[in-house]
Amino acid sequence: MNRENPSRPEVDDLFKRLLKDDLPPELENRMRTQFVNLRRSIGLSGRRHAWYSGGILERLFSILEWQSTQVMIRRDVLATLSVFLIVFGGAMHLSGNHSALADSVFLLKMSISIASQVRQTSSMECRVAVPEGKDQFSAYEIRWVAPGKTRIDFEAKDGDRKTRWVSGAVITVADLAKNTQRSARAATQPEDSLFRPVMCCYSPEQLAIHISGRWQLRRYERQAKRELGTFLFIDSGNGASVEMTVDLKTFLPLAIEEHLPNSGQAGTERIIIKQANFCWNQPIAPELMVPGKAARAGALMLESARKEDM
Amino acid sequence: MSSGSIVRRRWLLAARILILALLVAAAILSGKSASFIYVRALVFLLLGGIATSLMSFSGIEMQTAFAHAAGVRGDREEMLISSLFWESVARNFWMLGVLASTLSFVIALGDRTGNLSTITLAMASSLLAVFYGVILAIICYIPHWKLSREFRNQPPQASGSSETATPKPIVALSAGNIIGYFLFLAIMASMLRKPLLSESWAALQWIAYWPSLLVVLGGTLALVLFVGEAASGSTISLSFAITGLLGSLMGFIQALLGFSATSIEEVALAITFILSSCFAALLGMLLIGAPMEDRSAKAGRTTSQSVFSRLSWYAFPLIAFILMILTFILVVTPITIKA
Repeated sequence: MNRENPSRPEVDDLFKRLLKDDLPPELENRMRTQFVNLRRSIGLSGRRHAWYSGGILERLFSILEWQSTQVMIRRDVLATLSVFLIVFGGAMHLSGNHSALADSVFLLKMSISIASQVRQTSSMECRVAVPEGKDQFSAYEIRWVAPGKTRIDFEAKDGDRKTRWVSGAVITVADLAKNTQRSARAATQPEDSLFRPVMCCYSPEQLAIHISGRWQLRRYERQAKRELGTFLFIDSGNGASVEMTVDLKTFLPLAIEEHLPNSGQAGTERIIIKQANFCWNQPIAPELMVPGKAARAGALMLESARKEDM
Repeated sequence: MSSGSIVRRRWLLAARILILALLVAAAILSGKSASFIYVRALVFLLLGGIATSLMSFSGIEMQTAFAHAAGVRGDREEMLISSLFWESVARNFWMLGVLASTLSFVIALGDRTGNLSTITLAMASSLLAVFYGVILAIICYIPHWKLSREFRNQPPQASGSSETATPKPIVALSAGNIIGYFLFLAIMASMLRKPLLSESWAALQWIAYWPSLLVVLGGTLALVLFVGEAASGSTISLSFAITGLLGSLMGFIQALLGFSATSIEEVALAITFILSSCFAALLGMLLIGAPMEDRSAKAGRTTSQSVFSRLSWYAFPLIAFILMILTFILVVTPITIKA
């Protein structure tokens, strides 16, 4: 304290000399006490004044400024605490601490990446089974090649077969049972209800639109051993739950299963309304994509695949 | 005041109202106004502005500041406090805008009720809060500029002027200040308790990412201990800003590394770290740093807020806003794998 104010010893001496003889001892003691109190108050004035008159927060932070030995220990404790907080926080983060927000970001980013990856494919083959009654189903075989040619072979449960080609704005439909074939512009063609169940996997673009626009993200589960991930969506159109299995190495869907809304809840059986399996970026014979002679060949392939399934 | 100047004043007021009405009409007639309306953020900003003002100023000081803004003259010290009030309110609106934006952004990210299109739309809309914050800040800066100019033009008083007067002690937290804190916490709670498809308080779980909160808190404590001057609050805002910035940068680097390693988990964790660090630092500045420095400036211990504090109040939210836009880009940019 003396170092802060070097003139004080002289003042002390002056007071001592003045008070030495002229005052009675009682008064001298009282004055001395007053003087000591005055010096204390000067020593704690200025910045430290807040400690006495400040609010809770000011008092809290004034502790940091008080340079007495006792508080120096508190400063050490606080310094240690701050280092501990930084190290502990950093370690928690680097060890992959779980976060609900990180899960949501992951889900969102994964869906965006899948939709983007699907759009960049050169070809797609997809087999779709739509159950119709016990052990019976309609089957679809979809082939798509970039930049936008699609062929869909359909076989109903009663054996009725149709093939549809879409190339740009032209749609060609071949009925193998009646041996007929007709082409029309897509804009003038009424939507064929037969092909409605496969609209989501009609082309990679349609699939990407469904992932990013129609299906709502719900849950994600990872099968670490097989490098696969399963996404659960809810179709905003019909409320069906959609389960999509994705290859985490390529970010491409391998299978999609659509379930009836609210089925599988409260112990009820899950009712599948559509099942699709995908094969990506594999070469497809160009003649299959041209309407005409190849129609029967494609349908025969579908039939053999169907027999394999059974 | 002469009758001529009163008439002139009235005309000026009418002209201002007309200009404002024309601007609003133009916005409505443009047909795009619906995209720029985000009522929740606006309510948060307005109530948050009142709460943060109450944390630093008393009701009488606020009343006087409004009177000064309306043209009533006062003494030099009162004018100084009024000028400080308007600057603080403008600063708070700016920081609240970024805070509300960060919160809305996190809620949009965490909410799984929509599809990708609706989520990205909500993320983009959350940035509107900053826009509102800037507009409100500019509105509040106008009386500050006016009062500062008048304060400079007034001759200094012979004795007891604010520059030469001995510093007054910082008064304890008044009842008004405490009400301000409670009001702010209530507003925050209502924002975080937004009823979603997710369970209640889910938004609190999304924003409170413990690792980043610990790093920001620990870093701020360490800086305050090193620099000192904590009682006046001048180092607290700066410390929060520095640690928030460091945390966000760390997260951003991690996100870029995650991108190059095609690890979506890494990118997701990094984005969480960035957002949570920005949020913690902004909240610390708003709740602790800024009110303490305001009260310190009011007590005359500093003539105005320090340069470093100003830098942290204006630069850090701007950086946080830029980082949020970058985060948005990081989220919507797909990670592609060559087939």
